[in-house]
Amino acid sequence: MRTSAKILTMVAAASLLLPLTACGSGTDSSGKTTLSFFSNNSQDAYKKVIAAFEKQNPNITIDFSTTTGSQNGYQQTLQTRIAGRKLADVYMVPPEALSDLVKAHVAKDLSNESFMSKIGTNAKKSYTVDGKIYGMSVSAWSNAFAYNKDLLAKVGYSAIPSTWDEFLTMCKKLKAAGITPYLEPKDGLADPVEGWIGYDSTKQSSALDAQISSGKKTFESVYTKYYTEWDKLIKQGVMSSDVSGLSGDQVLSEFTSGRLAVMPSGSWYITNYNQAGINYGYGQIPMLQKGDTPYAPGYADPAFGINASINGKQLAAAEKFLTFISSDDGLKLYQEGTGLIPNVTGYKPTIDKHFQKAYDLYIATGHVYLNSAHWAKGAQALRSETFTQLQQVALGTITPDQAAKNLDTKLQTLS
Amino acid sequence: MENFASARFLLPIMAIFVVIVFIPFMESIVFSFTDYSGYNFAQAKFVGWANYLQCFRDPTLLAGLGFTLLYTIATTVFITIIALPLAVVLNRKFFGRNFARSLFFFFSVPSMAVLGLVWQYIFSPLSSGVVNHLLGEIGVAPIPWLSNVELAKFCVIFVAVWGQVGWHATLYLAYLQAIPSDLYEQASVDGATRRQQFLHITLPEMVPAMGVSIFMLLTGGLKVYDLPYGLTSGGPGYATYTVTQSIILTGIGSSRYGVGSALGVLFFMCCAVLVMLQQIATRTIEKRIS
Repeated sequence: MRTSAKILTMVAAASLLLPLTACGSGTDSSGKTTLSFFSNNSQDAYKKVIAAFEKQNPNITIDFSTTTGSQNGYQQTLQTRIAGRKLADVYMVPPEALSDLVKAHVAKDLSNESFMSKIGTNAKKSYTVDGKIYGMSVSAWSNAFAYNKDLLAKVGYSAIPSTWDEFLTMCKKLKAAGITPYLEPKDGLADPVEGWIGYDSTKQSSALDAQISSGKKTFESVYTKYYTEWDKLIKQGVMSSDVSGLSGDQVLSEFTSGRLAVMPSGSWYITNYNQAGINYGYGQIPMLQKGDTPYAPGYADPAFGINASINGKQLAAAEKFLTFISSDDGLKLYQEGTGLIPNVTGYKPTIDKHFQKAYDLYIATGHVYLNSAHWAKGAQALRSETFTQLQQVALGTITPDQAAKNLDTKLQTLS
Repeated sequence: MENFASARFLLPIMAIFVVIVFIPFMESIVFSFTDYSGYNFAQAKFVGWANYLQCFRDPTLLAGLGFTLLYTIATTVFITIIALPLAVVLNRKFFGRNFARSLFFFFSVPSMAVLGLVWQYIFSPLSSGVVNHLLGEIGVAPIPWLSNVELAKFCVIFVAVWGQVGWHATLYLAYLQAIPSDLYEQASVDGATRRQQFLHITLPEMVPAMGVSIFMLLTGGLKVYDLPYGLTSGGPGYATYTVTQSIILTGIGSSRYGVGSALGVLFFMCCAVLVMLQQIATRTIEKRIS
């Protein structure tokens, strides 16, 4: 090859590498610190938070990155970045991945940080491993039952009944009136079950799912009765087996179109409901027995974590960012952007009037429960497996106790 | 000397192949013998054949094999059966031919994941779904398209065929246009019908194109993930679960890179055998025809 061609080739190859130098964080020659932040939410959701933080801290620039798609997509991208040593300075810690992140030494111990003083006990506990706290969770989520007031009124109801049998009776009346009573999405089946297990866990020495995970109990011995109760929806004809093929968006579409009476939902759909103009409310998830304390599926939201390998100006910038997020100004902008409800000591969030009751019942009291948070191994795979098994129960191809037994088989393979 | 000179032109693409295919595959083989969680390889321990044994012990890991094979064979057969005659029709002169060619090709432009999400609404099992709504207009009860095991499989295969037939027809069209027209003229002079010309001229001349098309359909079908996941998320139950979904969700998505890699290596070996058989069959047919 001629010399000029060789030089051209080398320059072309070097220019391909040039964009890579723009990646990452650090301090530039003007003394500005670039803090990388990898989020599981869109850029729009954090626009106001980042703008306000940068205005308060003109020497820090946030380099925001995210991934599209579900929480699964975020977690896989997070793993890839960690494996490629490209973990951001600040990132969101998914609760299912917490122990893996701690084992991989990529999550900084935040126990003694000043910004953690405002975080509630439950939120701290959710991100604690071996007595140390590795994530700052500033919000919590919970499901409740969103209901169409007009449709319920047609059969003489003004609210969701408090017990499961009464709820089934209401659903039968709705069905007889030609109204679709209740639907769940295929990857969120048996929504009330976690609330029931959450309440029953309070009567135990430890959470029922923690006992399953440690081998003291089995899915079959614990879950069969709850799945059998849930299966009454199918057996009594008030929920169609079509739910085994319905996405969350399709269930939402049925509700906002005014064709569906009740659906499980968190506060994230409030904007959709308001835009649809339906007359709706949020009611409690019916419990199995009268007098049972209401519990709902829910947990602390993914927490803000700091990369354990950063130090110096990067670390100081990361700590400032988390301090800002946990401040009143930061929490207000966080809620406006993400739609998540802050749950921090001393901060009163603005709650949509429709969700106030559910917030008071579940989030404010901490009466939320997430089964996968108590599974030590393979939480994501196991949770996905529960929905796959429940789809088969909905189709009638397996029984509730077979579904629970299959979960035990799956758990064995993950151990 | 000439071969060496030609081989140098392959160096850039070979370099890319080594970096983005060969090296990651070798890494997968290494991971498959460890308990690597995907976070820090320095902490991974050697576990021997444990991950490979796990693939046969965990029923969910192999749950996708049946549907993956069904999907691959069905899409290969149906796309080939439809695309070839379609290409013959699109090769003829008629009014709006260019528009028709663009229309059929357009189906293959959106990504399969997007097609899956769109068709989810069309095939919704509720009465408000597009197909069920149209059926309701003529008095037919709603059909549980995506909530019935057999129908869900049908829907995934239907959308795959719908989305890919245009692309493969275009591939066949390119080969058709390379067939000398005097072959058809001679056949017409000799009194051959259109059907005879198709069977004795077009089809034999298209064997190389079919070899390419079937190879791409086989490899694409075996590694399918986006369409079934977008349309049905692998459900209902395990009805439309694929092997790639197993690797991604149960292996890698659960911080079990070792198990996921072992399943990937096993699946690669099965695919390699299948594709080799296909190549041997294609070469044998080509030799017989020539």
